[in-house]
Amino acid sequence: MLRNIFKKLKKLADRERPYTKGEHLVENIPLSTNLARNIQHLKEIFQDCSDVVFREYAIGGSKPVKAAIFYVDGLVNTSLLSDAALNPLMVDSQWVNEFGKVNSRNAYKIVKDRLLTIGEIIETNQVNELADHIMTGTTALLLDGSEQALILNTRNWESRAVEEPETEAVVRGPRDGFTENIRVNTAHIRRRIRTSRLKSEVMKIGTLTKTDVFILYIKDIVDNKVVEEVRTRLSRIDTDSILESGYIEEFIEDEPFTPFAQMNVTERPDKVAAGLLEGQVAIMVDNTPFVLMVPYTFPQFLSSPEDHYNRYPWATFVRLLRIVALIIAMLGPSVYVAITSYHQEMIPTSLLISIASSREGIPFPAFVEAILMEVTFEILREAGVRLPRPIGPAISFVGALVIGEAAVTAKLVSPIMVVVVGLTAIASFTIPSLEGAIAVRLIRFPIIFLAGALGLFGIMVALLAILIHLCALRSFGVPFLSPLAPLSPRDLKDSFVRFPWWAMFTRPHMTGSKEPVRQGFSQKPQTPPPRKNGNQKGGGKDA
Amino acid sequence: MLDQGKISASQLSLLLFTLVGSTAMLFIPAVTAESAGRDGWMSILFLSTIFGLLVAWVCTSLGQHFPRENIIEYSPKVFGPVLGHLISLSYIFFFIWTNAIIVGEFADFMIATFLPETPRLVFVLIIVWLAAYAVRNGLEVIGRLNQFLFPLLLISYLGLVVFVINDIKLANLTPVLENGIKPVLKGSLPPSAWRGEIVLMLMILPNLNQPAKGRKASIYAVVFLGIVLTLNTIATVGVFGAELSSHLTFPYFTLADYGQVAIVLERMEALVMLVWVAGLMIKIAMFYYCGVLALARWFNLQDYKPLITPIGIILIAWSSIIYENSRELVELISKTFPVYAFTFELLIPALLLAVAAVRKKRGGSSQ
Repeated sequence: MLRNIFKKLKKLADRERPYTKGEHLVENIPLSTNLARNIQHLKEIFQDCSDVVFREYAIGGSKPVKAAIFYVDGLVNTSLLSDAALNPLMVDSQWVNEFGKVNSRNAYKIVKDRLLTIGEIIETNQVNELADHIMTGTTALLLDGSEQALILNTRNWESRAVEEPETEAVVRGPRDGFTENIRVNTAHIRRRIRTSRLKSEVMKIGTLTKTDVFILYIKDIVDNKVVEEVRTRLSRIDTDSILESGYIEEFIEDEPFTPFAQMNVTERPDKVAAGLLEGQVAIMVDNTPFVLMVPYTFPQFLSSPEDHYNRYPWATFVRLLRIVALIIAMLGPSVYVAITSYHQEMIPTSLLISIASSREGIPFPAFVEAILMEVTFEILREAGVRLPRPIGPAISFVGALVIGEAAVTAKLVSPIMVVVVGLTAIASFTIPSLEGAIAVRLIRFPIIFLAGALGLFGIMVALLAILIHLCALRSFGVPFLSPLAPLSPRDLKDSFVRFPWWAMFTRPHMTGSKEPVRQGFSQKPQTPPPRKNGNQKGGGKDA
Repeated sequence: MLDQGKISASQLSLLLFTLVGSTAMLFIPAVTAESAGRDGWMSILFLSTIFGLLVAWVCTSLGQHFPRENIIEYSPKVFGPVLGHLISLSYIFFFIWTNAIIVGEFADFMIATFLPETPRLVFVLIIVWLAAYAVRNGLEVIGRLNQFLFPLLLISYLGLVVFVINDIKLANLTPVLENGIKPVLKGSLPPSAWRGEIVLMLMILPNLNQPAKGRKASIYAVVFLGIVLTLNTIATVGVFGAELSSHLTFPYFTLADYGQVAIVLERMEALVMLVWVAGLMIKIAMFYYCGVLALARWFNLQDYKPLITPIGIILIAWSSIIYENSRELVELISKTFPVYAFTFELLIPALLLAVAAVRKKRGGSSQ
């Protein structure tokens, strides 16, 4: 049956798609010297597009040359347009005398070389290309008597201001985050890495959305094979739309059947910059603040950019804390279920008594209790996200309290279970990577089932299965558990612990081995010798 | 090669350690105490280590003769097609048969100690499924998995010794060599059979990324294992005495019951069990992998993956009927298994090496 369904779908997919190449109904025709004809073509293309603005005007004094501009209202900076493209052409062109008068033969050259006071200009002689460019927010300038059209970069549209990213807050560190505007985003990176070796290749993906996708990397640090792999995988995507980087992620990941993300997702420019400097490749997608970074390895799963700014003993402590939290988030309820139902002998007697007394009168076995509470918590969490901002947190806190408290009083769940579930919930929010936290939350449920069925053995089975899966997982050819298994001892400096900056003089072996050394070898700060004119003589005697 | 995955020399070393350690740890103190009494540690430290070294030397020498091939590939070259293929087939039998015993051991151990009411088949199914999942992903993944789990294994093997160190009565170990050397020799047979399981190297040496380091890696593994096993035997016999050790089915495991970590966790045997499950899963996966790979090679298949399910089913069925009760199991592993083990672990490889040396057969090293 499945095969039949697959066959039918395949048949459907194989059908000719009329608009694979582009959405225009017209053929790929060249522009003609006749302005009226060109305008006719473009008007046909933009029929019923109420946001496309068309304006016809004339250039020059005695023998004016006809010209026309097309642009999409809302995507262009109209004041720039009138200052740089309309004013000089309509007004100043009358005073151009150097080459004689403007006429239809020399108009194009004079306009392009002397009159247009605008930064970026592209030339084209294809109607389709022109139409595509207009859609991106540029202005098309057509001149009578010319086969070429000018495309002026007047892009400017309303976008959200740079704000602190909400998903990845830090105490110490820069507070700017990516926005939906890809140009602003690349500027964020360029401001941090001011070298021409920082490359950003552009690609357009999506036959309808024509979304800009940037591949950012630092030449000669990055492994060329990874960049090449990113390029080929991106160019293989054949879809009509890319609305968020999540679309791309699922098209290009190594292993599709897994709850674990194989790409780091972030909206922090400092994190992306740090990744690029370690030899990662960033994939930036227009219209979303979330940037993908590959290859993704386990230490990144547990590291926040803040770890690199805080003092290293603290950063190390926090990282170890996160590992504990990860274990609690993943195993908390299941260990409780397993121990209370199968291995009571492991609990010290006094604790056992208090657990038993708190469970007295509870109608469900621990397993049902755990599932009940976990699902309730997930519902509350989801509601907290969906609810309108002002009431969201209030509802979720109150909900948690009321449901927890009421459920305990009504003897539906034991207070210890509420503690366990609460702890698990809090622990799961300490995982810095959003995608990682999601995976952990998801795999918690099967582990609870196995713990309910087989006790600690069930938990071990689940852990082994997950571990085999993680050992086999790769992100763009780099093993996910990379500095741990396969072990590369040098890279442990920035995994569970964080060495001081002066001690981390190499890049990670798996991604940045092309230019492994990033700084001078021993830069451990030395205590300077005591100053001669200081208080050497009269130490402690100063007035 | 059927599996293109590469492992490093250190991964090989750790794999060999887990391969032998995970079961030996559990059974050896009892088995050696039975025949060698309180001198059991000597049979482990000296004789079986020497045997292990011998096996390692023969296997790696064969590996140097045929750097790109496993035993299934070169035995027909050395012994001629008929005899060679027969030997290959007997190795396939050895891998699967041994694995069936291990799977059975595992299931019985789980029933005896943890979940007495769960059907035996559940454990067999689960462990074979896990191993099959690992085998599907190839040797590279098994190597990494083991590398990841190794610290845990080591803590559980050695940590226990540290916890019971106050209870070890060295008086239980004296007098040394009371009954002469003979019981020690006899007691070294079963551990040697275990130590010789590193013969699986014959299948995985071609996957080593630096073939020259194979010998060093295997020697490290053998020596380190000798030390760890000796410590465990000394701890077990030191705490329980030789008499009791020989009567306990899983003396090392009972030791876990004895130790206490602080006051928070009592009776750590459940935790030791967890780690032991992990080690054993890797061991089963290794034998499984070698069996599947050997059979695929023997049939001249392009891929070994289609054989995983059939061999898994054979394993499940065989492990259910291979012995009747735990007494029979002890007989099997202390009497029958050594005979097979010595044949497959030392005799045949040594013969292969000798004949290959005499006939000057060498695998293409330039491939």
